[in-house]
Amino acid sequence: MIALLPGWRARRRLLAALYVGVAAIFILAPLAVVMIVAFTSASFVSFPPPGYSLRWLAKVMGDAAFMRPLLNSVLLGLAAAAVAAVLAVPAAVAIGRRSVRWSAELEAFLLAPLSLPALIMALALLFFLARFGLATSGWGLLIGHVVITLPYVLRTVLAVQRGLDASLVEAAHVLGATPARAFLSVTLPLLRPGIVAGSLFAFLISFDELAVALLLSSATTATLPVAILNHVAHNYDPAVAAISLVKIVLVIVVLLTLERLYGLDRLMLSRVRRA
Amino acid sequence: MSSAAGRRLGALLAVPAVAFLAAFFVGPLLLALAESLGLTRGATGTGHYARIFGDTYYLEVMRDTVLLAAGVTGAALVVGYPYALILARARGAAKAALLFLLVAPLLVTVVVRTFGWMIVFGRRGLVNAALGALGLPALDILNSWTAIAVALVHVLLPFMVLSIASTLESLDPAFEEAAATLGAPPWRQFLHVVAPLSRDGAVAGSILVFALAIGSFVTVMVMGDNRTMVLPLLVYQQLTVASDWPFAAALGMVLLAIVLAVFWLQARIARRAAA
Amino acid sequence: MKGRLDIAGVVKRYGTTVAVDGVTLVVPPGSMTALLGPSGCGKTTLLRCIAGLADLDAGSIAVDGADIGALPPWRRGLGMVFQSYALFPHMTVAENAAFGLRMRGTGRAEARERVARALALVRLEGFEERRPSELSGGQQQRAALARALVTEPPVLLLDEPLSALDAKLRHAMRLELRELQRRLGITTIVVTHDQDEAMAMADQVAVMNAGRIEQVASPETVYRRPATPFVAEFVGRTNRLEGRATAAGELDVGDVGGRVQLPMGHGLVQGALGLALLRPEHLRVEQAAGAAAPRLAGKVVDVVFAGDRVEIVVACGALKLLAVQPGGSAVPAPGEAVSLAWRAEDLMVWPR
Repeated sequence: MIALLPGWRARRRLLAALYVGVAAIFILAPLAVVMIVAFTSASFVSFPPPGYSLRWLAKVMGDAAFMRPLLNSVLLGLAAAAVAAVLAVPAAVAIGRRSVRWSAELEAFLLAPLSLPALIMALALLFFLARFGLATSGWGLLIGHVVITLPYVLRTVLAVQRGLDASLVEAAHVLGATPARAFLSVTLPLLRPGIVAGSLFAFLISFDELAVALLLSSATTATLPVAILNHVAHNYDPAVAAISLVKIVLVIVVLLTLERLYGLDRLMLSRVRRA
Repeated sequence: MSSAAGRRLGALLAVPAVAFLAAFFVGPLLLALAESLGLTRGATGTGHYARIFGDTYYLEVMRDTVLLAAGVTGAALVVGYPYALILARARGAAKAALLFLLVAPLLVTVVVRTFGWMIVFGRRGLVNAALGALGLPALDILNSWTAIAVALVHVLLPFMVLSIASTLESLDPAFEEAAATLGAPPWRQFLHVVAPLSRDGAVAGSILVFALAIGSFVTVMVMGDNRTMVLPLLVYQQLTVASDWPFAAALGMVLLAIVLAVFWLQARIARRAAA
Repeated sequence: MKGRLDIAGVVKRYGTTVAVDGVTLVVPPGSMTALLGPSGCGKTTLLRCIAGLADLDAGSIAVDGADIGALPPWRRGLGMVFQSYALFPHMTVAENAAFGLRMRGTGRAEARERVARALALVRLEGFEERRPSELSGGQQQRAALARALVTEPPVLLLDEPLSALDAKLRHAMRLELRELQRRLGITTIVVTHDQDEAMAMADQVAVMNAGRIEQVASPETVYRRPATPFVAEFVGRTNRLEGRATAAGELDVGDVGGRVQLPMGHGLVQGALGLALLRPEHLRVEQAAGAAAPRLAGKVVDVVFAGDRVEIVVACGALKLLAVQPGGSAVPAPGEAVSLAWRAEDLMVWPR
């Protein structure tokens, strides 16, 4: 097929394929080596591994030093996503109505946490919560993660809302629905894809967040990224690779669900429009 | 229901989110600012700032931080642009695959990806294994700025690519075709048409990557040594190791100021482009 | 005169669909040819093949005898106006117009002069420093035209050039385009789905259907002597009569419950299925049944006044036939019994 094309188009296609190949190696190399090293039989990190076994996977799966933080991360992610959605969805509805004054300013304010380094937010929150003795209580983690994930939910829901036909709600009013009924039976169901996708994003971002988690967690509330980082800081062994593999598999499962349910490209491209 | 009442009710929906961010985002930031000026200890002083700007060590760290972020941004732009171009042109399954390749690593903890690069660059890692196979001497590049920059480009590439791609997606392919029929070979189509028309996306992506790069400390913490210090890592160390909170706050405010300066620059560029 | 375009055996496939299926067409130098057809007939694909924006799977394209089929678009030197105009939004009108000259390395002074001439040609003097977004639709169209013409290409390609304009402007631009093309004597291919537009502008019309050219002829021939039923039905309105040829040189049309006399040389053998088409303006509605054949008896069901003409719908058996008469002529009332008459040679007949 390519041989039949005139030279320039074939050359361009070949060049693009070559580039994607090199980019794929760059993107996947650090992930691939982690996955491979997770199966090493050696007690130290080397590449390629001298032999293969499941000993490190078995070790981390039975190690409370990793499993406890994994559970913490899942619970924190779910809680942060839920709270962020409860706060962000009504706000998105308010902003989406052009009749609300200052809606552009409101949107800019609610999206502001996106633009600042998480470390600065974590630092500020640490000072703030320390005054109330809540710095490492677990509440701090939740509050910090809600601040960080709220803009993502807001943006995803707004993107869906802006694509909606305003006359649908008007039609509901004409048909006799009160504003409350119209919201519950028309607006909310239509926004559901955005709410679900936004909450999933919020979960994944919280699941991966490090700055807030580092400064505001204690030994009992440490999240998985914190546990991994602590482990890396003190030992350079394949356990990190093994727990990373567990986490990568978890994330891929979530990602595939997302793709299956909503189509990844729509979510991703609308997600960065304002970035 | 009157439209004024509707407007008031609509605005009410945003109150919880606004209140939450006012309490846990704006409030803590103001507190951190006050802390950096010693206000919370009953004194007003710019002593911490004088210490930062009077010490060549801190000035050098600031310079290295900005240089690293700028280098990472430049590299991400050069590496990411072609990817964005190919992504924006792709259709169907190829597009989904390119997107998946790009964003899948986004959802794997920075620590894990950094660990991957440690395996790649480590003394017994992938690069040295490859060099050894070629009969070349091993390199010690793990703790260098180069290794840190490569790892950061890897972490931040998706943000750059998605920003540029969303601009390119909306670019009518007829522009390039028109340039072609007017005698422009592909590189001139790019230079005169595609590049200027996708500048907004490239600028937005660069600003985003710069802001994220300048706030990154985990990669430097894990991969670097005492010769590679950046501002956010310094903040982190002041908080956790030195426990000098007011000084950490002052360093954090300097970091914040740099980020805000970059956003201000972007706004100026955007305004000039619009004029 | 230069600018002869030879298209021979061009085939273009997308996957398993054949968009252009073996098209051969000669465009004489200095003439304007319209590629006319419904959407999806392959006319735009053929234009893109000529411009080099789509690759040929077979066939050749030559300008003045030189094969350009394998050249990339930027080496073909043809002018093209896109349906969306594709004016570069980040450049002024003058910069847009100068783009082709810039790509050819034309000197500054000469380029400025030629841009000025091209803009004067399309009556856009004084708009040099405007951005495309500051132009009206018609002005954008003229700017795109100036940009395509400034390099003095041997062949000009127009892709639905008027479709983005409103109806009034479209009529005016039709004449203007035609006049400009005549004045410059530039070989031009215009793609359109609008038969009126094709008829009004082109010297020859190529009617396309399903990737093939059904007929290439002057607008008058295409209308009066269509080569196929598709052409007849696409370039104008028709009434459709289907039936079997009889020994007496008639078509037995079951739907109207009667026989219709076939014209001389109709080519149908006895008993063969035939399709006969009649243009509405060739039908005369007569209140008294005259003697002369051919004619059909029927009853008026609807009368529509359309300004300069009157459209009369007549039921003949199970068929409804449309007749068009000049406005102001005497018209029957709905319900009235009438007979439809026509000249035998106006009946267009094909075997089925």
